[in-house]
Amino acid sequence: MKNRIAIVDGVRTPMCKAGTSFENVQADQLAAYIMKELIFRSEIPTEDISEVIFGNVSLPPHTPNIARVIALKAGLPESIPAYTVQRNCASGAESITSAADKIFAGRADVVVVGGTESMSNYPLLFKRSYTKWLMEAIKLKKVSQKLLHLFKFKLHFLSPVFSIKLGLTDPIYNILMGQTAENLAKEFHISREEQDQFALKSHEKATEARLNGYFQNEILPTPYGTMDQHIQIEDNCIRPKQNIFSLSKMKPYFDRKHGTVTVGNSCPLTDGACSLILASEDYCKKRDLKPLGYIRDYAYAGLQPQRMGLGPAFATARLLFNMRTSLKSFDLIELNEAFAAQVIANERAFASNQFGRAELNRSQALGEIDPEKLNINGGAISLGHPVGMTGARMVLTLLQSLKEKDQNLGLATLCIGGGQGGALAIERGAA
Amino acid sequence: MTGSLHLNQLNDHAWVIDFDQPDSKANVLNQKVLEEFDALLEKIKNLKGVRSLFIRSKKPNIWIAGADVNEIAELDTPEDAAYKAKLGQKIFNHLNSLPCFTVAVINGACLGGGLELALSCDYRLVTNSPSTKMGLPEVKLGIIPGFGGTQRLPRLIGLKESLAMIIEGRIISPKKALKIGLVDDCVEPSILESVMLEIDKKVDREDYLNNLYKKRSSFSKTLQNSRFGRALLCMFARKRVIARTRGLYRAPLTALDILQHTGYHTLQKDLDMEAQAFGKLAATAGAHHMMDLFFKTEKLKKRKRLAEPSHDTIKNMAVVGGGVMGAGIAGVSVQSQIHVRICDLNWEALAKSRGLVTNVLNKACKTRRITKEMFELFRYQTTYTTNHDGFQKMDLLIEAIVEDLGVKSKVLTDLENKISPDTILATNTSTISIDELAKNLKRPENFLGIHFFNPVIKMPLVEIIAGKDTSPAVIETAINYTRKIGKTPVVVNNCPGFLVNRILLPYLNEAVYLLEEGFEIKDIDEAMLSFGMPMGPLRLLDEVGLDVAYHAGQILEDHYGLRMAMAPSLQKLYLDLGLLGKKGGKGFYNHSSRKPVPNSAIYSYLQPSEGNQMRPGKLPSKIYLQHRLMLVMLNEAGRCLKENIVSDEDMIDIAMIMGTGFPAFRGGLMTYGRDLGNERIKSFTQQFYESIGIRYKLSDYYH
Repeated sequence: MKNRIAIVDGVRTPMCKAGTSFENVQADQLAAYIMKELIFRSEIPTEDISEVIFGNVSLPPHTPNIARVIALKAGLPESIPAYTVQRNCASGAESITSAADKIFAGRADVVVVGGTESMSNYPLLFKRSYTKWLMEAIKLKKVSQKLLHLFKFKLHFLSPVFSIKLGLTDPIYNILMGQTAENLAKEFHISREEQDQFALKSHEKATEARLNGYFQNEILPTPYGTMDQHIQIEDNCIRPKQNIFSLSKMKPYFDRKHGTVTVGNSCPLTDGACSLILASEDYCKKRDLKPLGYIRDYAYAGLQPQRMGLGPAFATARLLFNMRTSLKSFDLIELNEAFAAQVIANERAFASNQFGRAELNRSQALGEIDPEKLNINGGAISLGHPVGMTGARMVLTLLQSLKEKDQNLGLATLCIGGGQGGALAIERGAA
Repeated sequence: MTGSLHLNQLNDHAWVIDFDQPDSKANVLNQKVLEEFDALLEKIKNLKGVRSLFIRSKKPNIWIAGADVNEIAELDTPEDAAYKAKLGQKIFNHLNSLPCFTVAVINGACLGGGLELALSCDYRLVTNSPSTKMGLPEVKLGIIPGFGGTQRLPRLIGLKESLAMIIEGRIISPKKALKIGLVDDCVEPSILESVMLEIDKKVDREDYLNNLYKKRSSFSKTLQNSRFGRALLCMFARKRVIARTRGLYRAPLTALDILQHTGYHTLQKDLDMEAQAFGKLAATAGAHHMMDLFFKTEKLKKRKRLAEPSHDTIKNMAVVGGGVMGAGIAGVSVQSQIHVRICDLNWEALAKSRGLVTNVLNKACKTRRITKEMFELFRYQTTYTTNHDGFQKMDLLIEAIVEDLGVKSKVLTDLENKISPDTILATNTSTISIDELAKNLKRPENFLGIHFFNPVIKMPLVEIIAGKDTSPAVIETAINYTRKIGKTPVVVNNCPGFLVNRILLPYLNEAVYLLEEGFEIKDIDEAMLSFGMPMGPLRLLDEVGLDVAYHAGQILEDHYGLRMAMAPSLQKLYLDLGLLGKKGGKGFYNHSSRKPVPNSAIYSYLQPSEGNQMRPGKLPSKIYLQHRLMLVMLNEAGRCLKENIVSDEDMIDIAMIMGTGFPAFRGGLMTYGRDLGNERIKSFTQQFYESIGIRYKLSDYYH
């Protein structure tokens, strides 16, 4: 992309473990609250907004096109259209890249994007057999028939289907996301200790970043409670007192017998929303805006669903090829921490010449990831992973980190359930 | 054509009467229109082949706004008033007895006499447009429906729903009207004409009519309208009315009497009873006062603009200081599609204001001012900040921080640099002089006081205070803003305490003096309750907060001197004992139980006032207490008029009724003063001056 896309401003809610503070706040409410703030504090007149694009994974049943609901609740004029994008864990990222394409194609000047997810509010579903039984019951007219129909009721009808479990299961290979991480741990021989150490490090980095107030620039304290009487000021997944001992005590969750992936070295289920304003570079110049940064380029790639955790390697390979650059040119890297095993697997894949040649169609390795550059303020394991939000959140966090370290070019890359990877090159200043 | 009514033919059998009063936005049933209507009815009666008659309005937002209040206000004797009612009844009976099928086609406000006309038709068809609303608000004018409303309404919808509409004057939406059976159909305005034609086709089918009438009757309605039902429902309603108004307002009680004792005679006999009751009521002073108040507010609405407003409309506003007042202002403004940004020192404070705003919206939702969907929508229309991001966009900024001259001046000067040069800067101060606050400002012409009353959602009054440099254009914008959010603005000139607090605080203060003189808490408050105040002065002090009252009292004492010297006990209770009133749980009352009880512990701390022995339990004389308390107010109000703080007596009447709950049936403070008479004001004040002193210095206004 030659003409860059500016990220004018961004803000996010705190990220809260599912079932805690935000358990009664719906995904659209979280997003509306921050989008309102974003457009209200911005110097951009609302009339200039061409479109709203929002990412969300499990569209709540009451808001099939959640982007439109968010836009209206945030008080945007009814004339501004809105649509929702879904690319699983990269839905938030997809909203950014979709908007970038629109602006690049000259179809929009300013687009409000973002991602939101309330994993507390994934509904319980009824079995298909129960639905069928209910539908039949409605059609029956006579009382006698209805009574007879009662006998057809089976107790197993009542066992609920957890939509969250369905959502986190690969439908082609019927394995949970955690099992894909187990696959990688075994393929790359990643030990339990390595994973736990990684998780601990994530919590330590996030704790320090929070103490230093690094997240204050991106978080908007967010109200919750029936009458909005409470306010959540900080992320609540970070465990400042995490130690290696308690991590090592946890039982493997996805492969009880031979596994190494535990709840402790995976990301938690989380609620949160993030919103950004994107605009063309020309528009920013015209309005004299000072954007947080720019999107240089992006790439998505597909791979085997049962190895979906390697998505970053595949997507980054494509991004580097498009940009004709090397991994070294990136000053900071955000690689989403879905699972510790999955991040470590990527580190190895990035560094391996053999992997580069065999899988990425390159002459050599992608390049080693410098640990000093990777997820410097922690990642999803400590911060949380509201699936629809994360892609957008990573871009915002990356921009804040680049600013703190006074560096220019950053990479945000993440694995995507279903076997995909996404990678975005973000820069702060002049090209 | 000079008439207000037009007769048109829809097709061979269907005729339409269009109401279209010339040179008026509304259709009003005055004597002339009624006579014209009667004549038209006679004409239709003699026409051959009329199958259906539709009654429409040509005004876009109003169907028929009711009877002409001016004419009712001129009725001085019960006989005249009853005669007037009977005349209207006769015409509506005429309409009711027409052989053709009569249909009221209601698009817009259908109120009072308008609804009574609609009730006399065979069928009511309404549109679902937002301006369509129906009600019998007569009690709010101190009278009752006199054109058959109290009779035809319960016969149609049952007594239970009628009580709410007649006793409380409740205005209802078309949706609700359809639900309770007040109207027969509710349609989109765009298909009104075709629905009229459909009705016309059906009206000579017997089964259609039978079905229609069958739908209207129900067992529940029969039960409600039976003697037993009436007695029971009216008993409960009467209890509620007495609890709310202590029986001081006659209209709801008269309406209850009528509703209880009619309904089982012939319609004509019941209508006669209604007319008699209407006549008695319309001639009372209370009714006249309330109708005058209506004229005064109408006059206020039609005031002439001083200049073109500086802003077309307020779209974005900021409230600095998110306490109870700030959040209240935000919560009310956001309901009028204004984007509000609340600024406070930290997120703990903002969390509280967010909760308060949502609470205000929830209250509005519960009182059906907004729907659930609107609640959900408005809930996300306020934003919060600890800095000044986005302040450049603001059309209006209202400061609502702590009531302290130093702090306020500093914050205002600071804020002036954060906003654009066009932004109107306002303060919600309740006592501090606007000119004092404007001293350090660079643009005093953009600065003014917009003073809301607590609780903001409930109190309709807003004082707009013009400083000496405030530009008229800014004042006009402030007036438009307050009207937009549904409040009644009264423009006053600057002085400490402005209008309402300057008059009210001496009254509250005097109540504490009375306490020091040995009167008991409950006697003082009871005297004013029976005067018609919604709350006794000591109880009100607790609600306001003793700290707030103390600080405000100090400001007034500093400025106005001994005349407003604060009662020593007030100072003692707040400073030495730390009593805060309701928010602290204790003040003149103990607020721990659901119903506050007088806090007798404070008697021993009271400072006996000069020349008075402390005698708890001094024999109360209601009239004496009322005069004592009213005369401080009357004299201060006189001074406000002399000093040109406010343009005329009517403004004071409106301000005191809407800002302090002064009893409406007394017509307001100045009307009460006029009823009392200058002579008595002078002589009572003189007496009090001799025995009490400077606080009862007579205002020149009454010389």
